[in-house]
Amino acid sequence: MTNSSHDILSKARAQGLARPSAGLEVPDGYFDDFATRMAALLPERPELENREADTAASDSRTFWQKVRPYVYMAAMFAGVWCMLQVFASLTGAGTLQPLSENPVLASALSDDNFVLDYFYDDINSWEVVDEMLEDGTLDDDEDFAKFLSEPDGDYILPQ
Amino acid sequence: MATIKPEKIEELTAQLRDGATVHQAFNEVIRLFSEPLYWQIRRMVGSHDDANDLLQNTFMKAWQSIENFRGDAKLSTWLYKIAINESLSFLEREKRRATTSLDDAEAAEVHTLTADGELDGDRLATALRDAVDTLPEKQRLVFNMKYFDDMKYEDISEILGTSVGALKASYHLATKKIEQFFENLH
Repeated sequence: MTNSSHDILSKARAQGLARPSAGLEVPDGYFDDFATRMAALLPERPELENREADTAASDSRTFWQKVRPYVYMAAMFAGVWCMLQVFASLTGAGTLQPLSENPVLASALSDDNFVLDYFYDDINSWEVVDEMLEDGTLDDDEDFAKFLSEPDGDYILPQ
Repeated sequence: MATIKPEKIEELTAQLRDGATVHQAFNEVIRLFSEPLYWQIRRMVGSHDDANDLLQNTFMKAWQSIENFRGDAKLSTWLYKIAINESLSFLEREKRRATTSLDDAEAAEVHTLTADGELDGDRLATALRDAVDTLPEKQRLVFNMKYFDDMKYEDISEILGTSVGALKASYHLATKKIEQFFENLH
């Protein structure tokens, strides 16, 4: 961040302008009356007033209802595993071949351009920035501003 | 963001989920949050009348879907999300009619104000508001929340559903554009 930008925003802050209402006006008593006026506008909702407190609602599920999603998920994974085993035995491979032993994939992965085009481009720039924030590489706003100001940093800027 | 005690929010959240107290609790929500939400909306849309309408819509929508608020998210986050969605929808509708950036008359006024030297007080506030109005909507939201409301990035992240890294970049870009705006005045 350059000094002039920092100065104008700092100057505004020093003059008490870094507050939500700075430079804006509302009719006298607007906030005093608003709650009353708004309450009068709200439609009646008798169905809400008839319901019981629902603090325990989420706990009223049976044991089966609670574990059901996990059982289904486990069954799905087991099914996928069985299908892979059947597929492997039908093709005579016995077990699945590691990716690195596949000559086509091995050749592709050794090509830097292929990796850049089809793998790295899928990485969200913000995920990289987030990781840098998490590992402390960018640990405060000043560092972050400096990082963004670097000539090679333009590619991560949002529009 | 509104500085309301966490215990008060917890109490209100419980009351909003109880049929016997929901109406009274919602009136209290309106009383506590109308001002911070108003300024957030007003800084996005500009005019008081539009901000007033959108604030009413915000509370109306919150009331109509109050049974969907189960306390998983913070009450303030939920309300800010509704208010911001209302503001952005309004701006989208307005875009079809006119641009939200400075018109010639306003730009000329800023030039006149700055021609005689340093900006201060009301003139600086006006120029800053005009500078913020030139920002794209999302950047304006981030800038308003960080600079004027002094919100934490983590809270803004929850409201806007954007990563902290992206928010910091957005805020940085906003300050650069504001700098450019003031440089262009000279």
